[in-house]
Amino acid sequence: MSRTDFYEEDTQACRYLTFLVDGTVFGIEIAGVSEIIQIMPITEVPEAPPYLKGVVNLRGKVLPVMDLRIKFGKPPAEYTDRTCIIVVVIQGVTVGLIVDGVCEVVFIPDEDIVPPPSLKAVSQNKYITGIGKVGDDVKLIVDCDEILKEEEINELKASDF
Amino acid sequence: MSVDREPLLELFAYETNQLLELIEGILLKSEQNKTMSGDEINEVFRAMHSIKGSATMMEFKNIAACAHAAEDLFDFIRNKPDTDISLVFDCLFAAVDFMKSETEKAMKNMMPDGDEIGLVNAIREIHSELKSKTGKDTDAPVVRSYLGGKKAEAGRDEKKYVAKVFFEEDCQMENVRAFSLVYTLNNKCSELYYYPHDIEDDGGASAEYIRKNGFDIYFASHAESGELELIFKQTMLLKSYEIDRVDSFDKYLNRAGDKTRKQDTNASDMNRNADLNSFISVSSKKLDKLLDLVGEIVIAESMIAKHPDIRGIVSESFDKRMSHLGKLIEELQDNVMSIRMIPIAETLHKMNRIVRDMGKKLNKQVELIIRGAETEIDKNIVSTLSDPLMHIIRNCMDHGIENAAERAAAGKDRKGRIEISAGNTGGEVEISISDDGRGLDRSVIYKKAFDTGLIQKLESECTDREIFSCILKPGFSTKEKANEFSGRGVGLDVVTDCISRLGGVITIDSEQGKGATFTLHIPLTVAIVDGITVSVGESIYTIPAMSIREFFRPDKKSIVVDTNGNESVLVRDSCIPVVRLHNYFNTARHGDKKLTEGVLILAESNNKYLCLFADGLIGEQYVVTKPLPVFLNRYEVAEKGISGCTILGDGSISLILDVNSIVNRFVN
Repeated sequence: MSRTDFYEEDTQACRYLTFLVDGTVFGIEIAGVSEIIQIMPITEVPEAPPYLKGVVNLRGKVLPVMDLRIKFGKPPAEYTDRTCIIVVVIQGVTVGLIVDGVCEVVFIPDEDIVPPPSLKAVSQNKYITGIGKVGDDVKLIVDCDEILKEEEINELKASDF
Repeated sequence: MSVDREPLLELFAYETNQLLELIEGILLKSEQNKTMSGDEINEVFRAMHSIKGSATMMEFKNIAACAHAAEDLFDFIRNKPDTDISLVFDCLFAAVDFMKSETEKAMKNMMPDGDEIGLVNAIREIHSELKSKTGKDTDAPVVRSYLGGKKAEAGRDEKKYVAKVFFEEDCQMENVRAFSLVYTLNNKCSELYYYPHDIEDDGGASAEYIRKNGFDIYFASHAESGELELIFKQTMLLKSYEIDRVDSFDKYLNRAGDKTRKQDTNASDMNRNADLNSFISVSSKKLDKLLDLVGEIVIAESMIAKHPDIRGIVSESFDKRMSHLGKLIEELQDNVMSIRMIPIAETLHKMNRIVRDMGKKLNKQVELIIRGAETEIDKNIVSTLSDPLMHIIRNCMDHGIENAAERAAAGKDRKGRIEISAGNTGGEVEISISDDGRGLDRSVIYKKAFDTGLIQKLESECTDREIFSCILKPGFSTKEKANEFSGRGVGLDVVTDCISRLGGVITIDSEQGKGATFTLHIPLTVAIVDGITVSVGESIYTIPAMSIREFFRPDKKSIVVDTNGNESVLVRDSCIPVVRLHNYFNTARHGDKKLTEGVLILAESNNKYLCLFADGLIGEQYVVTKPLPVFLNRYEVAEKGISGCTILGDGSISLILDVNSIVNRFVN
């Protein structure tokens, strides 16, 4: 992002932070992102679903973190130096998303985003609100609200025991 | 309700509650003294006026209507200072209660929709009754004047004066001296103006003006001129003064133009202004944030100090500086903690109202004495204290204090006495509530407790406190019939519940016929807990030291495993179930460790015991508790027995166990 862009009005519109989860590039609207931090020691919390890894200490604040790999149904992986926590604020709730790595901030105008194919029974689809085209690449646009939805919880609860 | 209205709402609720507290306080005092001073009437009037204004702004029509009616009533009273005010109290207390509950509704994002019509009519009725009593028709337009009470006592024989005052040369701070003169004069005057007007402010300019041109005062008073002259004579460092009687000083005022200001300061106003200036109200969120940051600094410092590279430094001056930094941080932390502490006064003064209301209903005359209201305690604790205190006071009023005839027969003053005293004792606050009523009947309580199985010992083996503490148990009431206030056996167990949740204890002492004393011992702050840290697999849990009785490593012989595989352990002839924290939290994966290889923690809650099995003890430390993130509320983390978390010295997070809930889960 150039410096002049930064001061333009509506700097956050149509801007997406892209990140990697199991080799796929995803993007989330930059407006919901408050910061990106390195992976840090996580304290497990009982009774939480498997993707909710626990809580971390973000400068004195206790931040719940969820692993998007597990959330998206991908195989879990060891955390590395590249592993990051994207801190997002969704409807007043602050949550950390653990991703394999962050890439960049890209500008994707609305007309370059197409709706995802409407497939039934592909569970991961429900988090994807659109597919953005940047040059020859495609980025899957993730809906943060959907990630926090509660219905998911019950499902996982049932499979837990 | 839209989001952007919320800060306004918060402010509205805060202000309204403050004003209502103020009004309530004044009303209680005036009712006791059976009179209201002009200042007090004005104060209530102004407070009602402000409430009306802000309620109208928030569109809470019923609050506004109620405040409006009360405002009108007080507008009438202050213009007729000889009104018999004894009629107004009941109705106004009801109005205050109504506005309080409506404000609470508003805070919960509900529309305040209570029906105010009855109340408003009642106030209006009193209003017209008072009007008819004073005989004269007062519907003539009333000039609203904030001089209020002063105006009323002024009148026919007052005289108007113009005075010019010079202070000694080189006396310095002429403006301050002028102010003190004005202040003294004001008590004698019904109207007072002065020039230059800005003497209250830090004014090099006004001092300069007075030095050159003198200080002009225009006032009206019905005091004798000799009396007034004396005031001038007694003023320190006064060089000269002239007083002239005039018929009107309007022309002087015009000359001074808009620079002159009506002086309406009186003692109580000034004190309040001074108070306002020395206090600022800050959102508690900001304070919490500050506390968090300081906590972070503490952790950051310890991380630096423990850094391997830094540990290698061998330098005396470096060590000195590090320890200096440590001391400063500690001081900073203490200071921030102290900001959270507020005086307990407000909560204690609320009790006045309960004593009054119950006294009226039960027809008992009781005097409430409050001591140590300035004792400071953590803000969060103060707000939770009001419920238990209320129950104890109710209990004193209903059970403790006898009615007047009984008291007279026992040779006591007909008027009962309840005394609340608060004070700091080391790391805790002690609040004792004592009455001079009939006291607790040891044998009756023992009998009841024995019958219900609360006590199984012989009466002679029990201490007084043991027996008395039974009245704090749920459902325990020696009263045959319940009345409006107490006797249902709920109440005092609420007290126990609240106090133990705050980490405090309660004791009761009593002498039959002489009265009873309830003593609450409450920790200064809930934010800090004395915790024992234990390791369970890779996790570290913190257990409040308060609920731990002992730690031990069991020997093989004392371990009992039943046919279902449930483990328990024999501790001094009682068999106590064991819960493996590893399995319980399902987080660590070392479930098959032998009990003899770890450590058992004997935990207690309400006389129920449970052993928690952990891998090892790490240490004891005071930890700052933090709530779990709201996001986790949707999972059953709290139900599982996690009350919060804390950040350890190395920056990692440790979950704090809620021993009560875990014990209750396992032990009947």
